[in-house]
Amino acid sequence: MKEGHEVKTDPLAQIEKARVLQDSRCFDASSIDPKEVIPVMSKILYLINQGEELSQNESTEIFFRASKLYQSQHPHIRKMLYLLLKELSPKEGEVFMITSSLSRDVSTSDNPYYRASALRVMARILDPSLLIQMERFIKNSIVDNNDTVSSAAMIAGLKLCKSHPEVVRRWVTEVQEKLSSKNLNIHYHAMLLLFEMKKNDPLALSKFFEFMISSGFKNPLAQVQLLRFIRYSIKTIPFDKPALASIEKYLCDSLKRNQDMIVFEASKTLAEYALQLWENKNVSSGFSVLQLFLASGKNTTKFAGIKTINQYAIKCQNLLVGSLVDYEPLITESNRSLATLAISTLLKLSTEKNVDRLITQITQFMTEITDDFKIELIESLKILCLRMPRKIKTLLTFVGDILKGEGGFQLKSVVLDTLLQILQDLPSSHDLIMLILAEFIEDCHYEILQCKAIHLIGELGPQSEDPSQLIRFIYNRFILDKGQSRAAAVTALGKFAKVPELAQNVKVLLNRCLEDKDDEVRERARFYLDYLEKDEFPKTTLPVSIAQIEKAVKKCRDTGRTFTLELARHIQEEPEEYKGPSLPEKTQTNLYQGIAELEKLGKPLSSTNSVILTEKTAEYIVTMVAHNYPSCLLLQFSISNTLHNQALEDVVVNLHLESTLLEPLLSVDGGIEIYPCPRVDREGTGTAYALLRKLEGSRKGRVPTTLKFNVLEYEGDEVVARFEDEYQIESTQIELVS
Amino acid sequence: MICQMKGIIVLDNEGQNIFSKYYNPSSSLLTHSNQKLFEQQLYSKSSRISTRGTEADIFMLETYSVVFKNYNDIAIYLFATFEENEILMASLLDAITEALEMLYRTEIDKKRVCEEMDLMMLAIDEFLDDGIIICCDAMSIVERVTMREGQQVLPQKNKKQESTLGRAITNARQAISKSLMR
Repeated sequence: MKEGHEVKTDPLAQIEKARVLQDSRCFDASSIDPKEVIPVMSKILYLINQGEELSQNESTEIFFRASKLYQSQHPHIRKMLYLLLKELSPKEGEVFMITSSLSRDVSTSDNPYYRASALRVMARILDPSLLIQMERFIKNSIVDNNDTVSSAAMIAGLKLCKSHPEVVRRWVTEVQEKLSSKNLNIHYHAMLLLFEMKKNDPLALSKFFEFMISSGFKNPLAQVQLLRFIRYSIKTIPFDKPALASIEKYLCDSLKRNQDMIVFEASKTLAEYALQLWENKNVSSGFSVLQLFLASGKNTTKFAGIKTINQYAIKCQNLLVGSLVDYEPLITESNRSLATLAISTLLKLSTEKNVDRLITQITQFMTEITDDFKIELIESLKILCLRMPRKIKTLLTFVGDILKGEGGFQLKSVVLDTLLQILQDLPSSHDLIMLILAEFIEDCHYEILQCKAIHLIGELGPQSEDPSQLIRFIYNRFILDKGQSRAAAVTALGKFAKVPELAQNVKVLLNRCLEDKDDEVRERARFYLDYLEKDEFPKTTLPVSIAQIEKAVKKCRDTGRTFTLELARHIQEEPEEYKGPSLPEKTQTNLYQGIAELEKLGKPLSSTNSVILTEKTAEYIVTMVAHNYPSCLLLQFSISNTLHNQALEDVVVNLHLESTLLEPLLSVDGGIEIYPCPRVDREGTGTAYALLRKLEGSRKGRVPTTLKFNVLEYEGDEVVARFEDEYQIESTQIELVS
Repeated sequence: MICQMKGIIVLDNEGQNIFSKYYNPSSSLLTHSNQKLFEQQLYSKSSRISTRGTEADIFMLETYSVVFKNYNDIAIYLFATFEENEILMASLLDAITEALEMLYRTEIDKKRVCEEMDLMMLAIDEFLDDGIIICCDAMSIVERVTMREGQQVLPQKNKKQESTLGRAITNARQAISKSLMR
């Protein structure tokens, strides 16, 4: 069997499902051998981890065999068994089999490590309603003398908090007791759990912060976490002046700690509410420690520093503008992520005075950087163009160089789009941009982009100050390029005939094209010449919309009929897309997006501020405004899609009211009505609604919320894939007051 | 609001996945094929960074900050959203690698990790629960993995294989290796 030469084999490549399943029989053996069993357990975990599909039967089989391992008293086997149980994610019926073993471990085992692990397994695999039955065990474990057990119980509590906050809240005394533990780690877990219990109660929270700040606990993790809790919730808590002052003092004290992670969190919390809550000098000292980070020997520390400065650069420009020299050395960092952030920060902070120098500096190393980075740079440059229109020449030349230089399709395509956006926002840039496009088409490896640029010149070029200079660039295509580009060039050329002084020249050039070897080129030239002779221009508007034609063509393709314009005209045009504002603040006039049922509601009594339910950097950014009516509450979700290659259809906001205080709504007819958003375009926005009927009495709660939609994936303007997807957003805070 | 890691990934020096754990993945990282793609990007991004020895380095990928460490033939990546505290991430990664070194009683390398993957799986499980940091201290994690205080002291495997790469923690390590199982 053995080959003569030795082949170095990858041990992982040999792990194979069928073999491992076979091997797992050793779990059943009458005498269990750890040396045999543990590697098999690792292999099963490895396979699950690699995304190996286990059929229902296979997974059940493994589960049953594994549960036999409960008979072994070997600690390491037991430890691995706990892990395996978590990863197998057993079905309800299976879980039932081991529940008693687990609860025996939790309640009576004298091995604290077993108890801790079993608690965590329970929290993971038990259905919340079953877990509730274990409440007593968890609660008792929290006050256990063994720290490992107590900490595992609190971690389990954190999980349970999401599904059954009211149960967990009953443990407040036990958890609070743990704050006085000598073990710093226990402090940290107790703090996490206490915060979770109280986070919806501003008053309790303010007391919590007061207590935590004055208690002076030492665990750095806990301090980081407390600073973060403060950052996230300070706006919702009605702190009085002295309380705010003591928080501000705590933040400033935290800046002086030895551990960078604490300093970082504190300065970020200061920066987040700069100009609102804190004195400028304190925010400034926050920034100065971040600037100190930049001189650190560790890249991670530098990164954290520059990232945060970059994040607040625009908001706190006044406080940061004096420190530009601190960021310049980072431009040449070999770690590109650091350099990117440094440049982006510098651009954000630059002024008309120093922008030229900065651009020269960046130009020096443009050749060594990647496309991704350039794409990010382009984004910063766009903002800069709008910010300092007087420097547009320098900036656009730089952008033009990126367009002309080395680079992939995506980069070039982004640059083209960006130039168009700049052109829209800044008409004064017209001639400059036309020239950049003209130079771009001279030497472009991507035919599609070249045609796009030629088309743009044709559409917009005739309005230039001196359109004649653009014609030369276009005409060069006939001499140098392939058929498709030549055809595009004919069309563009034809458009220039709109300029009276150029009409005659265009005619001459078009006549030359009649000799072209490509029929598309000849036909287009003929087409434009005919029009020129009649001295009228082809109408650019179609009798029917592109969308209609598209639908008609699709229909024809499906049914085998021949396409006619007449047919397209009979296709029902889709209703105009809703154009909601991207991130609405307060109420706006087109509140109901023309949904008749909602329009009946009239004006809301009051509306909340908009709350953001996703990360600001998420792919889909969702904000929510609640509108209050006498008999109901309307939740308006604004969805902003940041992806350029995906559109969303039928976006439904799913409120999971089950096992929240709002659950009764589900049993009431019309208790909750959902109005999906028909479509969110690529990089577009849309609005979806949920209407909740008010029941007797007041109830409030956090409702886990997901978005469900169809994703349309685009390549260019073509839909290449369509699939269902779900997107988890932050829980929605709902308060029904009747 | 709670510090939350989004995943930990171990790749070999060819970018092949040895171990990965995603915590509450966003929709773009839900499917296994997307995860593979993500891992490839991790690999190619990090191979462009020349790290100083086994010191942690960092880069951005999509909407994440990624902190990673390169070893001889293995790399460990820890990632979280861009909002996370990178310094905390770096010290967590330090603790994880420190714990692994104690458990494997040597520099981390692919062979050891593959042979005794159970140790790594258990250690990571003790560090992070659903992405929430349970503990940032290598010693206590090693204690929990090896259950030093458990009742049953196990015979030690590889008794002769003493690490030549002694570190500051040698003493601690010896104490623990005595009770190492198998």
